[in-house]
Amino acid sequence: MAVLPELGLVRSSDLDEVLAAVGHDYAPYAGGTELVPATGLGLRRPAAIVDLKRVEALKGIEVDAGAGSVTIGAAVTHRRLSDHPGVREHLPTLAAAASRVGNARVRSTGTVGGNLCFAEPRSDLGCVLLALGATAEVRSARGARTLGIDELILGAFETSLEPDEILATVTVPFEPPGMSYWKLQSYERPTLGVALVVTEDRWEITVGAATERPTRIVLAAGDTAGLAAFVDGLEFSDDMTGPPDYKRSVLRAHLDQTLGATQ
Amino acid sequence: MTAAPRRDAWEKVTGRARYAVDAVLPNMAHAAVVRSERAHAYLTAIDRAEAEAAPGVITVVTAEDLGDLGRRFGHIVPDHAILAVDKVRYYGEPVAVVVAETPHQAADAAEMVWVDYDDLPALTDAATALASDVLIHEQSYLEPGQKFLDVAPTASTDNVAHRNELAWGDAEAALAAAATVVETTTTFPLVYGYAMETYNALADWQPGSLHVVSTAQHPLMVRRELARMFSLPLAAVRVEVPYIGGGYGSKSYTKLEPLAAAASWAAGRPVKVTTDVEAAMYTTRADGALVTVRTGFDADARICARDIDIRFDTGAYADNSPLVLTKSINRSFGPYRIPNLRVRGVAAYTNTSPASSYRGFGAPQAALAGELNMDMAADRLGIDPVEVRRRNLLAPGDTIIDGKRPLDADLVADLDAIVSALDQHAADRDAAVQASGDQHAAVDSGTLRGRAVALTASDAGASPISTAQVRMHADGSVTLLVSSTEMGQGSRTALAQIAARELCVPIEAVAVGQSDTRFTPFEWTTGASRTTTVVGLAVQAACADLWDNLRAKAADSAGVTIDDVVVHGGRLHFTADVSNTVSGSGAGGDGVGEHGTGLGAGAADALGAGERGTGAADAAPVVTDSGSGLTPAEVIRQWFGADAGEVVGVGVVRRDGATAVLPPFWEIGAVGVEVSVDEATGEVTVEHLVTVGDVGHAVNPDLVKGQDLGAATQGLGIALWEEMVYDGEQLTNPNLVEYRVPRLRDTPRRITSVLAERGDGAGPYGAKGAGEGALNPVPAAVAAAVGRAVGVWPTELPLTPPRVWSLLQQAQQ
Repeated sequence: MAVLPELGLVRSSDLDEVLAAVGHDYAPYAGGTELVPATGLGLRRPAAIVDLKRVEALKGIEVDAGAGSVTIGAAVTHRRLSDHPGVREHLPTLAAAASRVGNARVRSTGTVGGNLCFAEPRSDLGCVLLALGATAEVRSARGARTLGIDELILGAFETSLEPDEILATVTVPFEPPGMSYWKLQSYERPTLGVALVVTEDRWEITVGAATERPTRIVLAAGDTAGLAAFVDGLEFSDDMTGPPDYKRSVLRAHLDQTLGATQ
Repeated sequence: MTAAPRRDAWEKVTGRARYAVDAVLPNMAHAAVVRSERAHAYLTAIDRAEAEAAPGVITVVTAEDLGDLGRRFGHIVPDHAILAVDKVRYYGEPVAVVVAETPHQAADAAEMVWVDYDDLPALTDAATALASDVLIHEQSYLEPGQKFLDVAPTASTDNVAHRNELAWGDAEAALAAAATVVETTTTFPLVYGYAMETYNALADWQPGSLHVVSTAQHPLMVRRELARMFSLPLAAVRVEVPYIGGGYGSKSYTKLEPLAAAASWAAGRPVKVTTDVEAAMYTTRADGALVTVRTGFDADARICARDIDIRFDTGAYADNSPLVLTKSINRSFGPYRIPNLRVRGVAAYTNTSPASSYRGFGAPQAALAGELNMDMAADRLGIDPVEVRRRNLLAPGDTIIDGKRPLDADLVADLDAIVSALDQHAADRDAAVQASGDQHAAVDSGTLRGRAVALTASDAGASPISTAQVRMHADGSVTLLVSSTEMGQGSRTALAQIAARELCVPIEAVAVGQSDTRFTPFEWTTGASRTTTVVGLAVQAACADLWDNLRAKAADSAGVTIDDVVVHGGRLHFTADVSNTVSGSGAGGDGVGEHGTGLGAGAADALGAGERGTGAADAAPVVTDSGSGLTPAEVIRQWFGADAGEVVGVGVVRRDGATAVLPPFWEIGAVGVEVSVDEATGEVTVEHLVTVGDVGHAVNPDLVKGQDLGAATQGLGIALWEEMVYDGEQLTNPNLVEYRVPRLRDTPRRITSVLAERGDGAGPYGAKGAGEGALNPVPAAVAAAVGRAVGVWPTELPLTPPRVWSLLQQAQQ
């Protein structure tokens, strides 16, 4: 049934109060675009939800020109991310990807943190953030720790977060020259996402959506053999968006077009 | 006719429109349905003790509680239990219903109902079901001797829900003698008629009466079934249908109403049952189909025979599928001259969601193979696919099926209109390329293009049984009552336009009530694209009756006879004061002066609206009285002697007059598409869609175009995206994230919507129906266009990117 079970609600603007509440049966909640359907389907059974939307510390977008990075709060919506002048200036590929996440309703309520912490493989942000070398700050009542995106996202719907931890912020270095993100999206979620950073001597390739978690490789420019081996070695998911052979073929075609021959 | 804004626009965009789901009754309780978690199993035990003890629970109902209630429904085959009896036949079938004070309490308690199953083999596709000794239904539900469409009930020795056949000539012999035989086999997916408002019903059973508010497209059909199930007179069952948030045939006939009514009966409270998308997909879907068409051609590419096999996947219960199968047979061979024909159809029970009516009603399933076959034939014969159709199309007045209405459309003209629009698009593109000076843009690298046309003709309109009532008030304004349901198609607007035109009042002076069997008059169905045509005729007849009643009242007030009163220009005149005119005598009284009773468009145009009792079309009365006659309002007030009262007209359509010959009209589907295919990803883009709305006369052109675009878009969904996917017993995509319906950016890049108004329909002003026609040929047209682009003919829909990619791989081999 679409009817949600009755849930408790913890709501505070104080980060420490929020962190004290989050736990195994107390699910952090921001946009709800993942949690609400999962709860409606009975996949998640929290006793209560802990609202993060009123915590200012989780809602900021700070541009640090000195460090050359942008720090984004976990409760920032895709829409705010894509509309933010600083993000558009320093992280244009991320802003563009955020502007094409899901649909208008998802973008206006769904958040960066929710997107990463549910670790839905068919997603854009994880791929783009991994390509950008972003780091995640994770907080709990016990303290804080900093992780790379590939240390946060371990697999399909699997992260390294402990039950009492939340993602607080993501810090993203300014976008390097030569970056692009392309995706094939036939359904509600992407079938395949490819983030590239191409310079004179380097090919940085990050593949998302079609694999259990975003996968990144750095090759010397022109290393077509290495590129082919990377593509051949990827384990593509087999789901409604297509069989593995299809995804591999589409990836090859895209890389052929953007980088040159891969086979 | 003229454009008129939608009457429901304001209330809908401001959120004031009342839909079925908005209905509440005092003391209402809420139901949650416990659904089967097996596709095929005996029910060995249902433990509801924990649920009954849960907070807020009023009762938990299972089949064994229903006692003397008629437990089964199904308007053709009563095979469908309100709640599963002894066994379940599909994943998601209602097993029990929990009634509680709030939806939350009901939903929580529903999870405390424990069901034990004894599994049976799940037959989840038609081939498996037809080959299996395991029976989904062990008994026949029809009484001995009872038949449907001249076919006796199949003994339950197999999983056949229905079988039918249509044949003339000797197809086998003609195929053997044919110069060329072309064979096509296609698979049409299981699709779900997604509507924004999912099925819901509110029922209030009280001793001796039953009141239901629901999403039923056909409230009178539902009333009849509920009356039978609850042993009540028809008059004691009230089915009310406010606005419906989309129907598309999926809400035809009885769905949730018996469940809500039984729950109310058991709980002693009004009970509301709603569904989410998943539950809606378990309630009804469209029939999947495997269709094989073999067509024989002579040396001149003329058809000498068609032999067609249709196999439906009908799901766990028959619902309306036997009729859908029969119509699919009628719609399978196309509007072509076919001297020898054999069509055989079988509908198989399977352990999946029950299938029933869906926009197009068997036509899209069959036309996919039939029209793709015409394209494949053109290829084989080495002639243009348009030309092969042109050589074989029937002409206006030709017989499609013996004994039925002759073809009431000019298909060659429709085909010409499609081709000209497709050519225009190609020319515009070439011009754009030239203007840009970029010769390479002509062939976008990595993109393949294809175009195709497709045509269908459907025996539409259903049974011509319809009643309309017009009540004219003391100020001359009008309330129109019909039981046709408004589900977004705009029928209240179109019917108000007809009434306004017939009564010579502005459309603002016509109010249209919602369907409510207690107050609105009988209507067979709202389906088969019938409303403007069939109900429109009833409205015209009601307006004619109203004029006659006004004439009688005017005559009574003046102390003359009705024959002395004529209607001209929307006013009533006394012939006693009229010279040089044909008297109403012997004319008006028996309904001559027939405007509005289904004359062809020419005659209807000659005799303007609001003419009554004038005797002849070309003899408008010369009015010599001092004034300009009386307005209807003056007649009413004069007769009642007060600024009060009203006069009523009733109009009936039955199998007589304009609708004596069935079908009431042939609904034409005529479309063209141009597609591009991305060679790398297999993505299909519809570059251009052409629809020809061959509607005879468009009462409201914008609404017709809306119907055509909506129907065609739904067809694009089937062609490219929509498919219910079963993995074993369970539906894997019971939600709109994974069951992909068309979105705004899927709409064609260019749309040409043509209206063909030749006045050749039996409806008002020469109208014929719209609503399904533009869907029917679209899946076939897209399949043919993609086949032309890729170089391999598709055999299966939807043409998702991975599926087109595998066609591209085949093409390279």
